[in-house]
Amino acid sequence: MTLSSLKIHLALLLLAGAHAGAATTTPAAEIAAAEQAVAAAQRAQPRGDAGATLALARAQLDTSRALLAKRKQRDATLQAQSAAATADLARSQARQDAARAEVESKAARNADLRRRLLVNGSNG
Amino acid sequence: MRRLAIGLLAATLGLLPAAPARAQSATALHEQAVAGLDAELRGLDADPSLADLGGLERLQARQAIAQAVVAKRRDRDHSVSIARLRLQAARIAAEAELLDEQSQQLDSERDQIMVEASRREAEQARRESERLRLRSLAREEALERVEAAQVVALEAAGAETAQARILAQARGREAELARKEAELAAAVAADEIPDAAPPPVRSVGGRQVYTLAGSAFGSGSANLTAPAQASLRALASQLRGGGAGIAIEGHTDSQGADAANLALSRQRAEAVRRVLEDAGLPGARLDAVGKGETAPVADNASAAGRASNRRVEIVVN
Repeated sequence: MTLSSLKIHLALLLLAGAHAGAATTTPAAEIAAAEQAVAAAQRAQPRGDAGATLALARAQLDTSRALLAKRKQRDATLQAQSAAATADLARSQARQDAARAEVESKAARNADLRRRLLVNGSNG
Repeated sequence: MRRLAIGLLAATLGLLPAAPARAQSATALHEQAVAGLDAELRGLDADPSLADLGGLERLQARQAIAQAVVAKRRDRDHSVSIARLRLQAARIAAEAELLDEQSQQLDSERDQIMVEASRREAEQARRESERLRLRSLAREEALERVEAAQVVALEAAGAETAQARILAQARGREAELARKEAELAAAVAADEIPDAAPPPVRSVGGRQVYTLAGSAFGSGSANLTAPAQASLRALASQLRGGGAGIAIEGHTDSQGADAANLALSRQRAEAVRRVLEDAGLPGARLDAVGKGETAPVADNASAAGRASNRRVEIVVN
């Protein structure tokens, strides 16, 4: 292999790498998607573990924005994707927490109704 | 420059035997990680309690795993991380939807409890109504029994009253028979008294008044003694030819109650009337009245006066 051919090979490798990076969506689009995911998770009013997960998503989103500002397109994209996935997880956790609390509340309510209306009431 | 190029080439060639091995190892690890995620996703799909739940999140997880499969070498760790997050979110979302279903079931259960409570309440109200109806019925029956007992008692009382009335009538008849028997006995006895004289007479206002003394009767009785009946028969013989009316007035003293004296005087006057009628005087001429103690002829304070006041006067008009 001559020096010229080596240069050409390296150039092709660089082009291929650049193409691979550009094959995914743009960082701005990923960041916008992550912002929507974080907003949706926020509306679910996460607490506890879900709140911590949402905080992580926000941190990842901030990191993504910072990387974009530094023109680190690929890293910004990856961070935005992580932020979106983490925010979706936070939303699921918050939804699960709310659903569990509702089930517990309704189960207690039913037990109380059963005791007041059926158990005690049947004595009358 | 030539030496540098040769050196780089030599170094590259020197590394060539080791690089494929590391690449194969990393690929295997990646494939292993992805296979684990895929197995976990299939496990989630196979869970009957979570099947068909968390559909959107499950789809995102499936896409993330698919991207991890085809991810380029430098994106492998990131893609696996994303797939792991998506898979975790899918499981949690499915569990949340399962909880939502349970929540709906609890709402349905609450409705059933309320329906059952209403049914029991209605049943209890029906029982209470039935209990009150039966109690009312029992009261009515008790009242009917009381009324029936009262009717029986009244009937018994009526029967007793009727029986008492019959008894009184029987006693009255018995007394009447006894009286007639006594009168008959007295009459028989009087018939055996020869030459009896009429009662003493006096003239008052142009009328002849015959006085039969109280001794003509038994004590407290309206039964005439045999001599008194004989005397009255003698009087009847004297008066039989005339047509004048004859008033028979019974009198008593003031001893005892006015009503009793009036009744006794009336009974004695009536006894005299029967004897006179039996002796042949027409009943139409005879009028018997009782005057009780209202017309004394002597002072009732003395025994002699009271004896004079106890009398029957036969007034011939």
